[in-house]
Amino acid sequence: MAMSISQESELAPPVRLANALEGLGRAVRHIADVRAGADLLLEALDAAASMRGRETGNKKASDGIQKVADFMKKALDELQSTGRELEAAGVLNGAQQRFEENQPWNLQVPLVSHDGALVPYAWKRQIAGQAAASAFDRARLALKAFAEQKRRFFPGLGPDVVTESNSNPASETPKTDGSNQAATSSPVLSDVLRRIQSEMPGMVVTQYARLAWMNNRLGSNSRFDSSTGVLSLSANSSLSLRKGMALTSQLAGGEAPPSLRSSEKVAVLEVTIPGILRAIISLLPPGSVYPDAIAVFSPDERGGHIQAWGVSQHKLHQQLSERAVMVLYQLLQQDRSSTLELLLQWLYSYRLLFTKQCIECKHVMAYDAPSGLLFPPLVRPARIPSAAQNSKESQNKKTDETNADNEVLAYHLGCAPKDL
Amino acid sequence: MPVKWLFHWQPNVGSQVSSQTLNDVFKRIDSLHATKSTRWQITASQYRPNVRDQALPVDCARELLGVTFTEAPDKIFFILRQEHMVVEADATMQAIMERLQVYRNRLTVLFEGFQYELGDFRVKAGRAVLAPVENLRGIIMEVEYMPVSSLEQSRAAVLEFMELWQEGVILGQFVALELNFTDFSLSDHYCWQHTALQYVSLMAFFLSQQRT
Repeated sequence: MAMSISQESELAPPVRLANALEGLGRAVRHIADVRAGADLLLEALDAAASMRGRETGNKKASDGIQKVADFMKKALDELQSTGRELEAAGVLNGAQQRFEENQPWNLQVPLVSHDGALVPYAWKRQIAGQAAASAFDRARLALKAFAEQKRRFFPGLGPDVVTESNSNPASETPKTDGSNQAATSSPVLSDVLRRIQSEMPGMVVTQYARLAWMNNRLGSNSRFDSSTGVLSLSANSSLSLRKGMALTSQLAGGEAPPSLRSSEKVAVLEVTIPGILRAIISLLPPGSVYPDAIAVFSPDERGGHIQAWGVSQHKLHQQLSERAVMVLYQLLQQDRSSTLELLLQWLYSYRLLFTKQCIECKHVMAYDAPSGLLFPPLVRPARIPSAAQNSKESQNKKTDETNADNEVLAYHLGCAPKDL
Repeated sequence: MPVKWLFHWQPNVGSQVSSQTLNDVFKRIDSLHATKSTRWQITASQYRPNVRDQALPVDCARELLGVTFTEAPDKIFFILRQEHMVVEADATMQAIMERLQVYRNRLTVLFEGFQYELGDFRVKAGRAVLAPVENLRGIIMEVEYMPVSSLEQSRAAVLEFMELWQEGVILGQFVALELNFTDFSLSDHYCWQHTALQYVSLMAFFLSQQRT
């Protein structure tokens, strides 16, 4: 390497680091050469000693020794020059003292260059500091989440630190049992479902108790239903054969199914738009209308991963699930009691996912730049009621809008306006 | 089952179908950052009844078009065009037919090529050759859109995919094979029987092209 000293000092620390490491590597090789040369010298001397008795190869012996001596000299010279280069680059200078100033822990001097020594250690310190800060943040958030969940699951246990933000007066008491919500304005699951069924033909919502849902999923792992079309009625009938614990809702009315056991509360909703998608919503606490998690799948997917926290096999449905979770949390923040209904209305707006063109670019499929894949328009605006509006009023408005298919706005991922 | 659409290459006036076309197709698919996965092969055969005695009236189907898929190795599908039926049988049917010598294999068209994955699309591109002579009859492409199982829902998605993919190609284009599935009592929900019908129609198309 024929770089002058002044050029060295203008390089960035990582480059200098690399140069220094390379120089040191060369030095190591030269040292190895010297060692090998020493071995060769011994060999040559040995050969010379054994040949001296014969007196014929006299010249050869000394030639051999001369050759090896030259080789060693060359290696030593190169080692010396490499050493001088490294010294000029500051690799061997003062590293010990500097190091002991910064890290008084009796560690070995790291073999790095001049200012490069500070760089990896500075980086390491910075990363450690960031890790500590993020660990603190995470611990704080985890503590907050635990407190929230303790309040929900063990309502009678200990003082409530976080006050209930729900507008429902009945749930000011620590009990959030669904059966207590009779006399107040709080939403009841069966009412909500009945409204949904009547407003949205073609979308079927099936209710399950949580254990029944788990059994469903595990049992259907090995079956593959290839012959039937995805009609809502046939799906219901095939499910009712299993275990008797599946609760199915009728299309016409949302009255409680006769097989509902009083202790079983509805915890999982399976929302199917035939041929388009199937969404699994988990309710917490069971029997209420507060959705907890949502995931979207293809109607033909089978397997144990079809849960409210599962991930679909198809990229399209993975994207839909992500958006669904975003919308869920936005709606939860605004008004918890109308979340389920608004969420189901939003899902209903996807019924023309594969046939409706994007408003912006007038095509059905478009490239999504980051992933390089084609998607149909999968952004649908979620109607989030503003704080000043009464939730009932905005609901009426929405029913008028969703009556007309053409009013549904659809965007591709890349075409959507930024505020959605 | 995800819907599959079949396309065959139609060269523009003046150019010919050649194996170079197929290489170009592969290169184009590669350029979209698709991942190449496997080879695929589909065999479509035409069977005629083996009539020993010409005097006796023939009381069976005049023509059987059979097709097998390497993706479904334990099945063979038969299409009876006159009777508008699609029949699914176990793969051992072929051995049985050979033993009984009731039907004989007259012609076989082999479809083979490579399969690529491109997000939610699975694309098979390949050529169609007449089996014993190995001469090229055509270039085909099969596009499978995984999330959808309904023919009508997949139409816009698949056709737009082909449009986007074929932008700028000048020597010809891929033409979709449009079939009337309801003629054969097949529903909108896609399954292997639809695929069998599609490949058999394609085979018939290629065979008919030679005679003109």
